[in-house]
Amino acid sequence: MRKEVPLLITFVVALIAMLSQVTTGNVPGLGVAIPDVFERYISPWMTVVSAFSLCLASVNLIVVHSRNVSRKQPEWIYSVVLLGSLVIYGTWCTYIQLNPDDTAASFGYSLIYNYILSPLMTGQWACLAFYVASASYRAFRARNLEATVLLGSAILVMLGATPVGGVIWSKFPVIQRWLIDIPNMTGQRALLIGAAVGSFVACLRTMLGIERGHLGIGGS
Amino acid sequence: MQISTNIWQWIAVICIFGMWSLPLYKDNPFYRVCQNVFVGSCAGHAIGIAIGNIVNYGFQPLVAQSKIDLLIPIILGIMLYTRFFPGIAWLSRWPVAFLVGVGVGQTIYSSLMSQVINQSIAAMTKFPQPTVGATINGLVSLIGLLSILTYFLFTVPQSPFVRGVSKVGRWMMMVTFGVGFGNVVSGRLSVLLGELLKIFGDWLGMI
Repeated sequence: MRKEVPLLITFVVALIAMLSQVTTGNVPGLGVAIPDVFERYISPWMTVVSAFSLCLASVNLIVVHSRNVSRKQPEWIYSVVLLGSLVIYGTWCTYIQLNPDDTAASFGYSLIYNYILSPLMTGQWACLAFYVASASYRAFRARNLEATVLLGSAILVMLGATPVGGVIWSKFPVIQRWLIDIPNMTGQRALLIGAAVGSFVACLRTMLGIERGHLGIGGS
Repeated sequence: MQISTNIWQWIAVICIFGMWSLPLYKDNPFYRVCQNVFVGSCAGHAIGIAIGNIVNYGFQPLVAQSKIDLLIPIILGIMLYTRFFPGIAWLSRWPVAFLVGVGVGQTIYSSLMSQVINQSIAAMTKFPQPTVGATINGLVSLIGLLSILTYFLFTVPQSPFVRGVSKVGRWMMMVTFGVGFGNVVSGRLSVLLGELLKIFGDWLGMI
């Protein structure tokens, strides 16, 4: 019951999800097309269950930080900040999700989204530019031929992507385009094929119950 | 120069400076506050969307349209929370099995079809091409693809030929990683420039 049922659920659901993409045939004995079963049942169920799982992640976050606050752990004040912003955004967003006609609430939420959450997000993202600069310094030391190839192609791409590159030499954008379209595309394609084969094998092992790590049961 | 009088612009710029204070200065309380507000607001936003989905796609159709089958995902969803109760924690495996099952079933087909088969078809080039340039490009693509795949072949004896082809593959990968790195740097810098534009344009009014 504890092991077999989850494995059976994984197998049956995976089989339906897989077959719904390759066949239009009926489920034996039921007279319902397999893609219909997926569209009508599995897909909406997935939306609901994954929404519950998203809430679970937030519940975990709340539990961890509430514990920090209640036990006055070091730097607990930051947990208060986190919980406060979580409650404000969570409550407000839930309200506008459930009351989409309340334009005043939607406008208010768009303000705190566009002027607080969005700048924080882009600010964090732009921070990476500083770290990339220091990473570039370490990466751009040509130690051997292969590192030199990496360095050369990165410099050519950056020169081609910036307006100053085209001013220095008009061919830089052309070289950049060629590097992206031909060698880069080839490399991406080969890596994608390799990753897809690995992903296929991992999925097949999971579907057949050989791989059980996701259930916390352990290996075969 | 005309500094913005919009309070929201000021808040946005304070948030940006808060995030930048880490790389520009060092770990500090201002950054930690911004970081925790960021995590909390992202989680809060996710909760709002998730509850909206549960109500709009779960409870509402169940009640308004009498879709009894929706009881199943709701029960499965609630079962996820049994992990907080050690005695019945094993029940949370069922919804996890369902989620993984859907993902696995869809990936099995899509990984084969869109990534292996379609990419292999796209890699097949007719020779010779109408122009010399196109023929060279086709050759680079074909040789590059085969050599990179050879690099990942660990089950064949590593003869001098295979090693040589693998080396070409490694060089091709270095070009790919270089292009990727160049693109990442350009992308990050453009985000940074966008932020600077907000600061000097929208906030300080200098641009």
